[in-house]
Amino acid sequence: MDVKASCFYSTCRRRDFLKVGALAFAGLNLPKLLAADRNRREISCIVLFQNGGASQLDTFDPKPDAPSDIRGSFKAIPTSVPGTHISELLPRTAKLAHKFSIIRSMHSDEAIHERARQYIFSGTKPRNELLHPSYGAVVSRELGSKNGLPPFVVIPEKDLSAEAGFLGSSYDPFVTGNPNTKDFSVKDLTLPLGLTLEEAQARTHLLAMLDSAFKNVEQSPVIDSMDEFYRKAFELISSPAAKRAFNIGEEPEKLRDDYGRTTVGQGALLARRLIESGVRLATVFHGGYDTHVNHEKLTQPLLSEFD
Amino acid sequence: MAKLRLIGSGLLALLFVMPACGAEAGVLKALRLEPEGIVLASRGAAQRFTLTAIYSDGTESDATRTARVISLNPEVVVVDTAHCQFQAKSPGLARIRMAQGKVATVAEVSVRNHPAEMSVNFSPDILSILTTKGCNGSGCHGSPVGQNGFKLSLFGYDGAADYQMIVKAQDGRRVNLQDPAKSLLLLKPTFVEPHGGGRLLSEDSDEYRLLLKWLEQGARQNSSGTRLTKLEMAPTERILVSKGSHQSMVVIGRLSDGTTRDMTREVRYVVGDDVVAEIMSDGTLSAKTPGITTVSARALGQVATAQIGVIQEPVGSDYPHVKGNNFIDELVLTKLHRMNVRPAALTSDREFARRIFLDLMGILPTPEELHRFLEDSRLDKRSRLINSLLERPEYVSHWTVKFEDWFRNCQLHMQGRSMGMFKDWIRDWLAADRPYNQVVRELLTSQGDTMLNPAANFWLPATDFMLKQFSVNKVTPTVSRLFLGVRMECAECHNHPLENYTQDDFYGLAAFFARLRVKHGYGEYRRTWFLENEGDVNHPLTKKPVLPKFLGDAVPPIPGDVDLRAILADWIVASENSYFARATVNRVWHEYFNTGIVEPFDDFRSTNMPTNRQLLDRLARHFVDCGYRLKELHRIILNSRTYQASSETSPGASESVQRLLFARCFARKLPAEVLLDSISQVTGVAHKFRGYPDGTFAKDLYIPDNPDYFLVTFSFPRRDILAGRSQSPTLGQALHMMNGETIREKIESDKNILTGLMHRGLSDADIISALYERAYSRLPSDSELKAIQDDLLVERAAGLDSRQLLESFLWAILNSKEFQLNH
Repeated sequence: MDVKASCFYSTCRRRDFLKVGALAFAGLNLPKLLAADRNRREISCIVLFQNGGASQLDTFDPKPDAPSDIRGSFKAIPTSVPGTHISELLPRTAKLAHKFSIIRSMHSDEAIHERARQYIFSGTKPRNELLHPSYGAVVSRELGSKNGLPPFVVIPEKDLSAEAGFLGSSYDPFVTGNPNTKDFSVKDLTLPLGLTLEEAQARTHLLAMLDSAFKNVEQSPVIDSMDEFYRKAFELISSPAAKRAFNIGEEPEKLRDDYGRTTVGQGALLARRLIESGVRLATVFHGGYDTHVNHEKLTQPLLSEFD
Repeated sequence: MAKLRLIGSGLLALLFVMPACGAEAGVLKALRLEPEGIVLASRGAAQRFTLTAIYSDGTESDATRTARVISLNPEVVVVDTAHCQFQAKSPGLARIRMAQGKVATVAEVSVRNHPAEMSVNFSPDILSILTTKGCNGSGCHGSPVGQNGFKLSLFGYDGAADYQMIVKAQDGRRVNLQDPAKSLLLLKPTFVEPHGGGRLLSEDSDEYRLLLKWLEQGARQNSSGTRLTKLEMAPTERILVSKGSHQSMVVIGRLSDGTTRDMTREVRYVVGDDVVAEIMSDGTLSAKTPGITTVSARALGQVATAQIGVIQEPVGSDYPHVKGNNFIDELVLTKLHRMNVRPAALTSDREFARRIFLDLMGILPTPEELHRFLEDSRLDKRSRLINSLLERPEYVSHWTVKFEDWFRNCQLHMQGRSMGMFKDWIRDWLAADRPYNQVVRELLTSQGDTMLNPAANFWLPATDFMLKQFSVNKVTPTVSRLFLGVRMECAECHNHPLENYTQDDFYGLAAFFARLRVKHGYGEYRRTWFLENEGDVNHPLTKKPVLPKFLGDAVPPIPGDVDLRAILADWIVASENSYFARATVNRVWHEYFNTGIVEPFDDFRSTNMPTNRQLLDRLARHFVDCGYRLKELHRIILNSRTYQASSETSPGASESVQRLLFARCFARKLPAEVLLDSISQVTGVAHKFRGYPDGTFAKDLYIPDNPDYFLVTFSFPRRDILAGRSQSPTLGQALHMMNGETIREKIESDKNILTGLMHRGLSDADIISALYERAYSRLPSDSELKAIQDDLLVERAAGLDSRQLLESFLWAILNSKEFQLNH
């Protein structure tokens, strides 16, 4: 798998991503597609999401030939694909244009950010009665985990749109926290200070004793699935490989600098690292594009981080 | 480990003997012929029938082939005993005599004088063929996009559109009236022409001949104008004993011309749980594995259902004789007896106390409260405990959160104060136990400034935040689910193909909200709701205004200048309206059993029958009779032996049958707030919520603006949707319980329970027992205590001190299933 290709949809080939996206938007059957693919090859995918509604004029659809009251204040620049222009705020992205596709026709009639995100991440118009699962949750359910890692990861913060909805919270994403912090470690993944792995194991042993006594009396599906997650949790805590996957500190300093010492930069790098280790779908949220006032000033640094 | 079973000390004074539950076999009391009201259209027409033997103990069995059935007027109707059907000979009225043993009954079958050679109608004849052959199923031409340009309505719910598609569309290419046998309609299913669906018809089948005759007669839409108005299936309830036993299901269609038609072979059958039973296209049902399931038959937009139980073996003489506490038990135990499922034993007092504290108040009993209850020797002490807990403020706190979930008190639309005021409004009426029908009426007719009339916050999730508009389409499904128990959301866009609710029903209901409007305060989230004098909802197809119409068919008279919502609210909460009370009691029941009597609990429809109809009806009536007081509803449920049944696994019946029939208690996860409050209780360290005084319970928080990490991780719900709380565990939950700061801070705190217990100089064994009692409301058995002490000894040898050992033990307790579940 070529993970170095692009920071957008790294290991998922472009056409495949489009296929999944298009199917989901048509409300068609993602599980079927996954099932069909299951035996052929692994699906891995990074979604980089510009939260808040990045202006198309200042990103991928600058409309250089439009009248001035439609154009934004930034200029368009040519890309590596002749005839395709994007905003001058994305010079590095422009050089990679031959490696990605741009869809300029998408729109949504959802006015609330949360609901619009839910729409785009589930492919189903949000309803008041039912929360449809996001792609990542479907991937979790259909493909399960690999190498003991959670199949669906969200970076940096939990987002209501990237959830499992009616599939049940078991398929919710695993949330990492902000990787662009000093001594970053994933929440609850490291043992409390002063507790050795042996001691943690002893505690788990004690717990198993209490639980087995209870299970002689009780039987219920909820007990079995709680057991399953405790087992997975302990695996994550105790497996050095899993820990390493989340340890962005192992990446060379130079590479970390190249990705940018920002939440989105380090988030993208962490996503890549996780995909390489066995996570199936990683979503990186890049926030703050909801610039109602002072738009140019606020957007410029965000896009430069992004680029 | 054996749980303590103090059966006997906790029995109530309200015992009465169950008449129906005994091992002795019943005596044959009556015979029932189904279907009733058979009106055969003409000479030669036939109708299959079933006979049911009814015994004195309330049980029923099939008697179709054992009873003697004779026609007293053989010139009108003869009985074809080989096929269990009546056959029409000439117009008139025939008396049918049925007898078995000493029981005999007479029923009537009439025959009309319709022409012998009936014309073939598109509906129901042709549509029936399309349905039974699967042509209009969702996987074929009935899918939303059809197949290769040929699209039919799902299971034939829209006959007019299907007629257009078959006879007129694409220049009528599918029919050939000059040479009917060359019609595509016949060439495709016989596979003369390539057909993606394969060969479905042979040229010598009845269906082929009927299709051909219809084409020969000119492929008319509906020559007689006859419609199918109702479908019935018999028997409506049956219990089959042992795998492989059969029951012939009979389906009768009632037509608009007053005649009936045997549709046993003209419907599409679906078994809800196909592990339990299977059914052939001729209506022969076979038992597969013990369980309970719905069977439905569909044709031409109509549906009929029956409930089938399968049991391993008949009820034996060793079936336990169990006494119930109230009518709930009577109805539950009768059902269990019929299904040969043994009810679980009664809980011990300790289990009962823990369960009811958590269910009613969302907290654990303190050791003092527990001991006070255990030491009470009065026979009716459980009833007394229920009564006293219902008066405690924690009951109000705990159930307020549930109603916040249901009424969608969510931060997405409401900010700060508004949300808090809505919560307080719920608190107030819960504390006063105001009749729930009045509360709902107030809610549904609320208007004005949300800061002055908190009930009006109910409408907020139905507004579009940015467009600042109120959407009737968003509020209609909510009201329908919450107060009628009916899921209408599909009908917003299309007629429900499998159910009785249509787009007309949806917009008829929506029309009651058409005059509601909202004004936004500037710069804050304050809204004012008001009514306009006019306003309509347009039907999406006709684009014309829809008149307000109750679910069902009634169109109320609308006096001018009136709040339409009040008319709807009055109808919803009227005591003769069966939806409201049933939906409400089922919702509350679900909170206690995690399984509704109708399940899913807010999905009442003809193909989703209650597992115990009598129980649902009786409970609803009780709720109405008690003036819609929620406390009375809690009281009757909590006092039942059914609620007080042990959660211990019993052999025999499958888990799903035990669950559906409420044979025992099933463990359920504690909701986020309850789990967090319980952790605070056990450790003796209150959780700190930003901006709240120490010791505030999670369930009393007003604004989850920055919700606590713990609450979010443990599925604090999004209340902008009606989906409810997820019960499924997550990886994040497991990690946070094992490693997170919530637990860590509390077990390491030097002000926690361990410090207190150690300070009192208690032995390890005493401390372990004390923690058991705080978390589990029980004491460890000797063997448990020994095993834990042995384990801790090993750790001590590894160099841990007493405090560290006890912290480990406390950690294990908080992470254990017995603590995290209510059982």
